[in-house]
Amino acid sequence: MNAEPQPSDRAAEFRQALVATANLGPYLRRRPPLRLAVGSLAAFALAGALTGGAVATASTIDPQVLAAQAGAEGAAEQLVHQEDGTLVGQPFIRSASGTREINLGEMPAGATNLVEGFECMDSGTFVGLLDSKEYERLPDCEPGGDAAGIDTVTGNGGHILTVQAAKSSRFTIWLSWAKIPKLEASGAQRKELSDGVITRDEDVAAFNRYEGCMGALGHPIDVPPTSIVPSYSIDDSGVSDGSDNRCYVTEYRGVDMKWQIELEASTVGVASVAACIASDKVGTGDPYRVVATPKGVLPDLTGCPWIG
Amino acid sequence: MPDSDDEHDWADALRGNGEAFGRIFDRHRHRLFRHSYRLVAVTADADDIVSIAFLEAWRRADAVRFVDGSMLPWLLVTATNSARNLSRSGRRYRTMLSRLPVDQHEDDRFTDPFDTEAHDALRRLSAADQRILALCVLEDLPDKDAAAILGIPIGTVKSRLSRAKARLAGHLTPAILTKEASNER
Repeated sequence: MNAEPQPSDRAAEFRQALVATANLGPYLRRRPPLRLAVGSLAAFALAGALTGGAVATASTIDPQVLAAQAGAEGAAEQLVHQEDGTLVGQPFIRSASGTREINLGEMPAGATNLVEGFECMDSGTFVGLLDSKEYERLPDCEPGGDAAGIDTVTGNGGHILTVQAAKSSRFTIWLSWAKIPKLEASGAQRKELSDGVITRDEDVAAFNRYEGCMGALGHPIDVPPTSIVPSYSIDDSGVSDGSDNRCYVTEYRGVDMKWQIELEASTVGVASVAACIASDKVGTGDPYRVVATPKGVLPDLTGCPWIG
Repeated sequence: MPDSDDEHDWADALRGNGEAFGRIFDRHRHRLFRHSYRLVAVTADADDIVSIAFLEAWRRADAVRFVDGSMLPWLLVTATNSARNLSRSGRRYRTMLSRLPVDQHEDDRFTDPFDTEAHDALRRLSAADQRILALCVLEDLPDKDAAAILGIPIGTVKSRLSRAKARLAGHLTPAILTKEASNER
């Protein structure tokens, strides 16, 4: 493997620079961004745009702005696609700086959620609030950093989205109403979660349902011999068309999270489970390749008392 | 000196004790270099990323966070972010970086096509996937530390990690997957 990097002139010189920088004096904390009173916020009146008006774009050809708009839009649209959703009305996109308030208007008929895409163009902290409630905080956003989210809007009447940022911090936000199908755990997964404990058999059963779901949607997943926590691979198309999210949420997500936490919380942990398996109680003798069997054929783990 | 001294040294550095900043650099530069090198596969770029991570720490001192007293997870995340777009990340420090001597490294060592493929596959993933893999796989940090530095619940770390691994595997050829499997044995 790679050799250990050697100390260098560069490292020594850079260290000197760091030391000299700090020696210049106490670090002066920057003043926090001014919080503007609501009445003085620069506000966008976007209700029309969000409910059917034209897409609003910044009147600029600044390449950084264009790149940010593409980034914000791409992140949001990818998320909608992955969630099997569809946009309702026309999206809105705007690049701005500082604290901004956006009037979303009422959620139109047919929409279930608000979708946000965001990209910061300057370093800093950016906070998103929906009807005064924080929904997103990017404390260390770097230029080009993006985020996307799908949020539930509650209550009737108009809604307000606010981006809080330092006056000089530029960002791009993309917004649209959308219809997002509500995915729920299948009956089988709910049953597995109902007693609050996931067994190895339940984890494998849930994973097999997830795998079957993906196959039925035209995305058979590659499952090499797997370990205690299944390892597998998903191709891009299965992710981008939403199949993966749908199958994972309905068949496997809750079980997967709980099973992994149970393994770590166990006083014996994965290593001991592996040791049990290696002791030939399940016949593989290989601590990290546990289920080297055809799909659905599970090793007998009953010899390991801490397993289900 | 343990990583947990970072928090004390950082406080000293902010009070004007440059040597304290130097100690943090000494403590983490090698690991940060190895981490950065795995992300960009070019030694000169990895050197720049290490420098940028420490310069960013000073510039954004209010944003620096510690996990059990260690600054390393924050530095790793910052390096991972910088590696995603080195030209943009380095723009702010171009003048300073250009003044530093260029080390005479041996030839870049990603000569194994398997390593190259894994590296390319990693770079094709989303920023969120790269961060979780960088912390939990490349750096082998405990899930709780990754959760603390990313600000998400530990269950989410576990779920995201296994999903990121699955997406990474989707970009790898059977040959490299077979090789990885045999390495684990």
